[in-house]
Amino acid sequence: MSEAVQREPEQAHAMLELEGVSRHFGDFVAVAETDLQIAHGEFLTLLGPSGSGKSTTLYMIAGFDSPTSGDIRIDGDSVLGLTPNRRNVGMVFQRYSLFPHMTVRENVGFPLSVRKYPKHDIQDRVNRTLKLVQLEEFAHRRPSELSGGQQQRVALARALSYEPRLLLMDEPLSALDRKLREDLQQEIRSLHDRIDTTIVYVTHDQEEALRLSDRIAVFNHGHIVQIGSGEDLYHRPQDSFVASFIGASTFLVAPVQGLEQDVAVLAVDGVDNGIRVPRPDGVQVKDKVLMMVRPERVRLCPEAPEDGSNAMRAQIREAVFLGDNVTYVVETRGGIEVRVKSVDHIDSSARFREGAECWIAWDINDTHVFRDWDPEDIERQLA
Amino acid sequence: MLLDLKAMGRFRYVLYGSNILVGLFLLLPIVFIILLSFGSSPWLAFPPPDWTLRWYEKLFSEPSWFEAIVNSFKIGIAVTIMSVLLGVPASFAVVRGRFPGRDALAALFTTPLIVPLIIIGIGLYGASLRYGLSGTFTAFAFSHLVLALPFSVICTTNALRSFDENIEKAAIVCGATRAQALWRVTLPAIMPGIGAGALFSFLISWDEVVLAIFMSSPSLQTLPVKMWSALRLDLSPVIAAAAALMVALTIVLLLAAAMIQWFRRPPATSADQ
Repeated sequence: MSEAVQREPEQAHAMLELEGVSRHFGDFVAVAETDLQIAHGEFLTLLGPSGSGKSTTLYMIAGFDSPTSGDIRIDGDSVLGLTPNRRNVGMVFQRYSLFPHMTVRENVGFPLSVRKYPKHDIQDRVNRTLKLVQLEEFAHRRPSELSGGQQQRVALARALSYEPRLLLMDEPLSALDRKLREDLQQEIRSLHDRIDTTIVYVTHDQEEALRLSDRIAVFNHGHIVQIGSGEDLYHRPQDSFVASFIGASTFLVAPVQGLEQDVAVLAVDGVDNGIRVPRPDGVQVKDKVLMMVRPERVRLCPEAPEDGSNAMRAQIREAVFLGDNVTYVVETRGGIEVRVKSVDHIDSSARFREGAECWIAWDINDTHVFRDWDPEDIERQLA
Repeated sequence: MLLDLKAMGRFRYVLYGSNILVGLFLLLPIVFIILLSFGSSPWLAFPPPDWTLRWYEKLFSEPSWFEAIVNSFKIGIAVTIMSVLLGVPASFAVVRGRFPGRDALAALFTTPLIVPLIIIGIGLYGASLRYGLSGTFTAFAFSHLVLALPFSVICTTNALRSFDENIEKAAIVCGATRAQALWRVTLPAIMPGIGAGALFSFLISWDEVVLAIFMSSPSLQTLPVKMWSALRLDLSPVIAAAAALMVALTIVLLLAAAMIQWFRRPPATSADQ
């Protein structure tokens, strides 16, 4: 992962600090008390479904909304008393927010002109920033003469022209089509590497978050449920929400039938000896737990595996060839649907056909177990 | 397309025909008036026996007519300025405001469009008598403002509603104060709406006659009032010339607005890479 994460916490002077920040609208808690520290030069993404509090948090950082409690500090100083225009942050909005009556050049120069920079200085900086987003040739155009992607690049240039200490981005790519979105993600990422700005980025798109961020803060119902690198979130989800929000996996609720040193055995229909999973702290026999396994961690085998992995007999329900992988939906003897994603073999005879009998198998350590879960989280996966 | 001319067969000639008839119905009276204003007959005979500019000469040389034209302009401009100065803030309140009774207030702003003119006229006349403003320029301009303001509010409100507030927020986060954002970003962006409101305000005042009759005095008459009284005294072709002048100014203003729209439009993109 990137340097920002690996830096020692003492060494990394927090660029942005949220301390006990909350936002209530009447009885509704949009953001519960939240602590967050963002290091200099870090790319942090606030990820979550709509209404989870991520945008409210961003708007509080920008100064368009005030926290009900807590403090927001930029570079060590509280900014709560400052209006947005005095916080010296840049912001790119969800929809195109360019000034329609100004040219690209005037748009990018606007923050400099309200700061009363000398004319030639504005010229230089606008040229430099336009070059950064490769829009020099479009300097004389009006926003209405640009494509959606170009408009967002101008918005980005406008937010960078005055070199703000912090750049906030509110789902800036959500209005663009997939291909363009990916191009711009790459551009934003490489821009971040080149200019070394601190970025707080809001999105509901987990893939976008993984692609861009040093760290991701996952929001749910106004809480940050987990914060960490993409790898942390994917491989070590701390709760069922994170497990279900990132990646498409198989979930199963089952009672504990036996406990060993590090292993809990779950009773599952159609599996004689039960399924062996890492033992969660404090779990008792007969407790029901939620088990999750990632589709790419499940193997399909013609015979029962002999290596002590979990295994179930199953039948292939669906096999979809997706170029780089084949995605299967298999049904076990006990009627459980399991998703399996396997790298395709050039030799297509090695592929399983729909209706074929097989075994599915996965390692004990590839199983995630949760003692508490919200039924909604599992439903999201099934939908 | 929902209405495809080619797919309509013969029926489309019916459509052409009815459109032409409607167009003639609307335009012919205006065309006749303009023709008559150039006719030499002092009795407004049609077809005109000969052509002349005499009536126009009279219109501009006779003091009572010329003063009426000047008054119409003065009042129209005063109404336009007040209509914009009041209409723009009112639109902000109606669109951006969060207060109880906001929608009722928005509806209230449009009531002058619904209330019969004669009622408004009587009310304003009574009020102007009571406050000793009867027959003054102030009372005249304010009475027309009552009619013009709804147009200013409606046009500005529509422009402001379609203006994404995030654009203003973007200006503020860029370092502009609220006032700067308003002045340099929001107002220029909604200028077409404000301009349309101003144009309508002027035109409403320019050809309004009912309230004008209530508010006028022998020394303060607008062009329509002068035409009205001239009509009752003698049917002179000067009236036709005055009417032609009113139509001409209206057309010029609307054309100018259309031209401004046209030039604000981005040119067709050609150099896309």
